[in-house]
Amino acid sequence: MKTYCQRLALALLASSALSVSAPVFAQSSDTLRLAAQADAGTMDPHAQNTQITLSIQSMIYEPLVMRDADQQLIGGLAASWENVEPTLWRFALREGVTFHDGSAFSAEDVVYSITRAKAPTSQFAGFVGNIAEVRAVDDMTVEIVTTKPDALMADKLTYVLMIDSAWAEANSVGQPQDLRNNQETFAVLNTNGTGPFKLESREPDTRTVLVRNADYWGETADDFERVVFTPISSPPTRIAALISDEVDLVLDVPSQDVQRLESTEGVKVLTRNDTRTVFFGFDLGSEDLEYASVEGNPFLDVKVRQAVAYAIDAEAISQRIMRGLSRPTGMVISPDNLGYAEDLDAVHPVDIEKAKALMVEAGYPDGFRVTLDCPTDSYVNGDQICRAVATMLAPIGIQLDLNLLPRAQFLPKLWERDTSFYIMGFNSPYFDGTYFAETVLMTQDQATGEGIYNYSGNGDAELDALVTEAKDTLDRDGRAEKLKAVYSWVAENQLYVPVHQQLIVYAMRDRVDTNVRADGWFDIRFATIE
Amino acid sequence: MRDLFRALRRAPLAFISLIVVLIYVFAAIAPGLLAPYEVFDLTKISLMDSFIPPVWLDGGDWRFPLGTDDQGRDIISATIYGIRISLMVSIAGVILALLIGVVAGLVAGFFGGAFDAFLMRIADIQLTFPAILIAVLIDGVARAAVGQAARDQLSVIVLIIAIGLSGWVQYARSVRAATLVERERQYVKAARLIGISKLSIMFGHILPNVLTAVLVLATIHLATAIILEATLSFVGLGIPPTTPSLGTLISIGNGFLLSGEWWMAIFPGAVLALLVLCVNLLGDFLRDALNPRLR
Repeated sequence: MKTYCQRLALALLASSALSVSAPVFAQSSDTLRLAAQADAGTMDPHAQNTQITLSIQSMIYEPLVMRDADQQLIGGLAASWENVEPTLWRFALREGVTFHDGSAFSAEDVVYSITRAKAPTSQFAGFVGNIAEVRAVDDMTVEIVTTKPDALMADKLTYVLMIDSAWAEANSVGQPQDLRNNQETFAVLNTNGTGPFKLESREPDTRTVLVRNADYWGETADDFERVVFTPISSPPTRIAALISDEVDLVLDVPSQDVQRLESTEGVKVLTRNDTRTVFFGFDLGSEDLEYASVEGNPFLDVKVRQAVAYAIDAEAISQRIMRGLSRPTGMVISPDNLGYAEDLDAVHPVDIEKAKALMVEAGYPDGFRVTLDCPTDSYVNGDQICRAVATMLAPIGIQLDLNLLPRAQFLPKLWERDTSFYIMGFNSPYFDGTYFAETVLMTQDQATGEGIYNYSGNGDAELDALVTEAKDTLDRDGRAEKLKAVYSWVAENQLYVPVHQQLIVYAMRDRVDTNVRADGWFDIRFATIE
Repeated sequence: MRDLFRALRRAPLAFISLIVVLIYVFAAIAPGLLAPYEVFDLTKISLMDSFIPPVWLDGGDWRFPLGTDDQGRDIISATIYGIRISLMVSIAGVILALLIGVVAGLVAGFFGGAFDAFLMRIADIQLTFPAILIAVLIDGVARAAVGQAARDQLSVIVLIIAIGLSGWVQYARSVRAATLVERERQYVKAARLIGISKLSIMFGHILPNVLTAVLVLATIHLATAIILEATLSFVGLGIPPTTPSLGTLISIGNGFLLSGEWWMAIFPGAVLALLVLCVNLLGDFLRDALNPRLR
């Protein structure tokens, strides 16, 4: 009996150790204790383009152009800019900005950072791929030459964080960390930015502590001294931590807990429609589907993709799994994007009989078995959605093996196009459908940044031509029309099966307040603690 | 054996435990007879039936007396199928541990010397690791060796190996101790004198005499094994979440405890607690009943 009790105790201990990191920071108006479902993947500002990574890094590093509380462009490390010629942009840098180590911020750092973001190991090529040349005119002026006129250059630069050239060279981190090969560099755990916070300590997947930069050039809404960021992957543990006042602000709140939190004393919930769309994608680049029980690649047949779309009930997912906290959609981009079209956005009808007929027509009357890759810590109730889809596809003969895995293992699979069927959420960072079109829809080309998130491996000359035409149209209305053509092509060919836009839900203690950005980027400059 | 039944009649708690355990075993052997729904048939599940509470609460539905989970699965059926996997994995794990442990114990005890020292030091080293750590290690190795997707298909086997390898030491130690005593007995010496092979002395003569101790150990180990399976599945290292085992059901239900859908975790949890309790009571009874010194 004794050993049994010991074993039980150890089991409980081990299971709690896996899900909770013991909080040591007590409640205080000087410390913002932040929790999210996953950790920032790295501190290297050009290695990983995911929301949480950017949210944490942007406390330390800053871009040339920023957004205010209403998401309008404002000066960041650039005080002002102008589009001198269609392909020439001139940025006047902000005076008196210093990096955390005291060295001055200058044009040289901008040139260095943008060049760094263009490297093959960078995940920000989509934002700088169109830049042909970047040059320092003088210490405080930078000129950017684009290969083609680009109406969105300033918008794109909100994603390119500035790094100190001398510091980077001294520590030999001239190239972004190569996450695909699990490279470790100095910049992964060490930082030197211009932002309102300095990195004090970092234990990946456990805790990141940031301390205020006394010499910060800009303004923040509050002057709390510290930010303690704790990733807590288990949703109930994360919510319990907020209720018991062990954390102040929780970023990823499961839909089922929203009601409970709203009625909890001392806690409030802020929501906002997300610009991110969650959708299912297929492997369209392989002749033979890797993780499937079938010869060839059934997904190459549009009828199979349509059958999947007919079988997935997005309304039911929204009502049941998301409890109404999502917006079912028929389009891969959200309504606040240029190129959005209401007629394309009708939620795909559910018709199992039709789906079965399509499967028969495609030559798969008995269906097939395929593995669905599904991250457990990326999208709200992501694993529930995947399990529900396994149920929805069963009647049409598609048996899903669910591969539920943490984001840290899921993303590298996508980067390597090592997937047969996957769920993905994609955000349009500047409310323009061009971004999705050029980074997700086009044939992959790392050098130009085209198709860098085209994880389906699809390559279609007709679609490429449509997208190119759209992105070369500088006039907004004209571009909107061209984008519509792109997205109706996507719908007709059922390249993806859209599910919904989730609601961004932040839950926090009453004394905490923040701005919720539509792009889901948590911006520390707007957070306050009473 | 007749003594055992007589003892059982004098111990009502153990008697009830035995009946409960037999019901569980029956549920595990023929879940189709007890479960109202076939939970592996995804075509019979509808998301629109999800989150239905037990019948005595508002919104309850007699089709699902104890409610449904987040996917619309009947809790009763899922739990019954869950018992099947949990029991199957733990019993197989216990048998594996027993086989390894008994052979190691017999060999170590009978031959002694360097063999004995070697095996028992391995056992000592293993005892310094908690069972769950060994199980996590084996799971990690399996994941690295065959990949995530294949590992999910082999999850039952991986769990059985994990339970088996983490539990053999107890058997080995007590069998060795018993063997050390038995091998000096007259009947063993007699068997040696008439030239019976060592192998058949070990397995034919000594083993039957140490088996009662093993039986008691196995019953108590079974309770631990059930918990270990549930724990590993709960933290996502055991059975994949699409397959109902008691651990995965509790793990999924755990995500909905705060939001008020308590039935998803509580019912499988209660079923697990009752099973472990009864197996433990039965184990205690067997230990007392089979121990000649306590009789």
